[in-house]
Amino acid sequence: MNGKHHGDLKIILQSLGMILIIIGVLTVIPLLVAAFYNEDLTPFFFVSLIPMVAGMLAVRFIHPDTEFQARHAAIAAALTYLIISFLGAIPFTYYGMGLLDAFFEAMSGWTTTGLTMIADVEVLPRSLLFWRSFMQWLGGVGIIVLLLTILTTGRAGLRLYQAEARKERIKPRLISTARLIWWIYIFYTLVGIFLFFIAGMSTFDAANHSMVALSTGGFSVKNASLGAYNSLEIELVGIFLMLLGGINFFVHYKMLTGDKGFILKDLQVRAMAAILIISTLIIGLTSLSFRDAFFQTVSALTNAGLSTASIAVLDDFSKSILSLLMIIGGSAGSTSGAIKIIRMLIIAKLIYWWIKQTLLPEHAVFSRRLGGIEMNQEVTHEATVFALLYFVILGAGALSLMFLGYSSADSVFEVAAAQGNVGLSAGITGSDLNPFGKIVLIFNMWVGRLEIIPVLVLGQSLFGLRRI
Amino acid sequence: MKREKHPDLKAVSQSLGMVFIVIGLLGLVPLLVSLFYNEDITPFMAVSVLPLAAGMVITRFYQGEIDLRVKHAAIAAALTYLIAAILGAVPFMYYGMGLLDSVFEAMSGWTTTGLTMIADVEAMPRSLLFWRSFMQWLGGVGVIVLMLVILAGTGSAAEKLYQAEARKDRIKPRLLSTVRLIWWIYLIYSLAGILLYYLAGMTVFDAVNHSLSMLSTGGFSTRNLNIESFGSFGIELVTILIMMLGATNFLVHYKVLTGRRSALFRDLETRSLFLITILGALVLFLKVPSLRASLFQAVSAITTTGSSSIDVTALGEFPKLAMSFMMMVGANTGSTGGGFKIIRFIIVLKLMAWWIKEKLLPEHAVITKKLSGVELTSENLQEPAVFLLLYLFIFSLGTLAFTYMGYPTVDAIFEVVSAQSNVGLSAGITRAGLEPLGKALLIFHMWIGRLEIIPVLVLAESILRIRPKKRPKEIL
Repeated sequence: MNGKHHGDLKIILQSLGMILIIIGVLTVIPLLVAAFYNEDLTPFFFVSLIPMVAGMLAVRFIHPDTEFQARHAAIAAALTYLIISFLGAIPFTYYGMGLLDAFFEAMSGWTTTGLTMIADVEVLPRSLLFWRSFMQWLGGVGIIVLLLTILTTGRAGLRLYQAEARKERIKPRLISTARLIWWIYIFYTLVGIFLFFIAGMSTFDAANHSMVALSTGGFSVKNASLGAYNSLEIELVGIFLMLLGGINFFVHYKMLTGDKGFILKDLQVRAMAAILIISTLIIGLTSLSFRDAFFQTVSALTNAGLSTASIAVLDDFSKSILSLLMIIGGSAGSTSGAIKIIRMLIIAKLIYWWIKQTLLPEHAVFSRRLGGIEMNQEVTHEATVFALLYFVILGAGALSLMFLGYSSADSVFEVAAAQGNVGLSAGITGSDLNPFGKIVLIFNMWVGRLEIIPVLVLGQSLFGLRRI
Repeated sequence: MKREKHPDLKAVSQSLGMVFIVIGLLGLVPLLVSLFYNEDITPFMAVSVLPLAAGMVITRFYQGEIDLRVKHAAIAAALTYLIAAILGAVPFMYYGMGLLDSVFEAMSGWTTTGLTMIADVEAMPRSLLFWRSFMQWLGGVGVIVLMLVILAGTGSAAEKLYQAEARKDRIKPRLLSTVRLIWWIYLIYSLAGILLYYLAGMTVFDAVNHSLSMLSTGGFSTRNLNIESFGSFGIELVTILIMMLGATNFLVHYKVLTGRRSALFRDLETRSLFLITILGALVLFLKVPSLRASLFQAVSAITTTGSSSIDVTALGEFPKLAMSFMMMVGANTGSTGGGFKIIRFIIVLKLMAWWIKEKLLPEHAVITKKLSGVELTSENLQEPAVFLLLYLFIFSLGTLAFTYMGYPTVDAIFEVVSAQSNVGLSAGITRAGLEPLGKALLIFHMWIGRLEIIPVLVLAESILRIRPKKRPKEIL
């Protein structure tokens, strides 16, 4: 190893150290919840102490001498999700789960997926249930955004921010943007708790469901998810929160600062509304009741993964429609995952332009705009390549599950749910799943949350795949 | 007066008139076959005389210089395959098949797909069987290419028509020399195929039919069980060879035949074809008991031929999906095969690799984007990616429709890919008892797949006039 590599390692370790400190500090909250409910403090004590000590050591003793580059940020982001999934797994293993299952559960939490290895969540201690929801809530806006709110940063901050699949800035300064996102997020969470409470939930249920719905995570404290309450009001609140989570935070900012009409002008919101209406009609007319159909389409498109009906009993057609929604995903700049609506719009436009080019006389030039903005080659290129990469990884995952003997409809559904960080399940996920299948899904959740590139950068630097 | 008002109509009609004439002339071949076997010549009279007469009238009526634009060429190509499918359906209807089934069979023929509505082909008259194989053989190189050879079309109009039928490569600088050469190579291989099949133990009739349908990567057979019915390793090997020949770019064939043997292994697309075939066979071997069958089915899928040496419907989900993937990728450009085409697939992979590389390198680093030593422009790069997404989109709609009709997802995927890539393997959905909507959908997929999508969209636009008068207003 030469000096340059040492520099890379140092700077990555330092940023990981900072992230660990934050995680350690925030775990005080589940610790308090455990204390409040008079439950065992030990697991959360570990989750809090280990990262804090490790983080402080890293920050204290590592003094990087290299400039923080995009590469470092990508590797740090990819490693962050692996490390915090190990940390997040501690309470689960403490309560008797196997390591792989616990790791799966924590990855599903941090990535806001919501697939679960636990067949009966209702017997779990409340502090553990809260821990699941809390991971999703933090994961929703992104661990690294969290880091930025607390620390003041320069270029390094921007790199990390982008590496965690965020691009837009609401305020000119990055730190202000991150803080603003958090304030909006906290505000909505409190509103959600209040609404769920009014609709008839207990305080504990309301707090948990508000966190998982808004973060589009989808863990529930009930085995039957929101279907357990069988209450229209609760379902409506759930839909409202999932939609809030699936909309770009820039739109929220505009709305909250007085520009009420802005939501109707946003292309992604309009596209989302159209997709939801069409797919609700399709599923409502073919298999589920309209009430369940609407809830499930919202849950799939926003990548939340809460459910009011059993997915496993649906026919292949409805499963395929939901799989498509899960692959599309919510708005860019929201808490949801998958390809994102804006990329889909760009691709649709590209196809339209391509046809138009054929129809017009040769060498005719026309402007290529989306939402009034001229689209340059770089943007369209990014959208197409990203979508294609997404399909490749999705296909590989689905083939792996099919190799284990699951049907193609279920395999595609499950992998789409994992990679889009949705968490609806066609019944494949469970503690009896083959370990290979669990690892495949963990990988898809991880890759999906980071929007692929950081994982590839990590792979490249680990295996030295310099030549592409 | 009509001619001045409708320059579009004139340009398209003139090209179509020529297509009619060509089909009519070629219809004489099956006519001779039916004479030879002492079978009813009526249906083939209809197939040759009708279009000949129609073609003569049309070309008389629409005479003179035309300014054929890309748009017209696209519409002509799209209509050509529709008209050919309807004409090709006539003999099937004569022998008692329904209209939709007959059009399906003919579309499957001309597009070199090979899906069939006929449960028992062995009961069919020989002239009809020959007609099926003959359509595939003509369709393999392309009806329009054929037209250019026979009617000696040249100039920019011919050029546009040539490209509208999903072709781009030129072997010789002049287009006419190129298409003539393609046909010579094609004839030589067909004759070689007949000889090899005969040596491997087929009757002359079977040898001719299989050579025609396999080289064109069509896949129609004169037997109900396709190649499986012969149960002969020798025949399977000959079939594999012929399918691979059909799926290789004719430019490579030309080089090899003129003495440059190394061209076969130097061509990136051909190397990839071999590689995917071997990998595909190994993947299938994970779940298919015999390596011999795995290899045969992998070749049949990747070359988009669609012949089978085992019962494909009985395979599990994993091999079906793996085969669907191979069918989607398809054969080489400039070959008789269909699908997405390997070179596009390579470009898309490269595109991803370069994108990742750009992300990995320090900001503003520039990387050269070369493939086989040729620098690719951003236009070259965009086209395959957009095409793939469009291909996937149309494929998904078809698959959803079949799952809606109640078929399992895996079968729906398999059948739609097989139709859209013009393969012809079936998971069991295609049969005379299929709902009319399902048949119509598969016809549509075969048609749009053969033309590589765009011509069909252009045709749809010119019929529906969906082009907006002005740019729709959009606000962020």
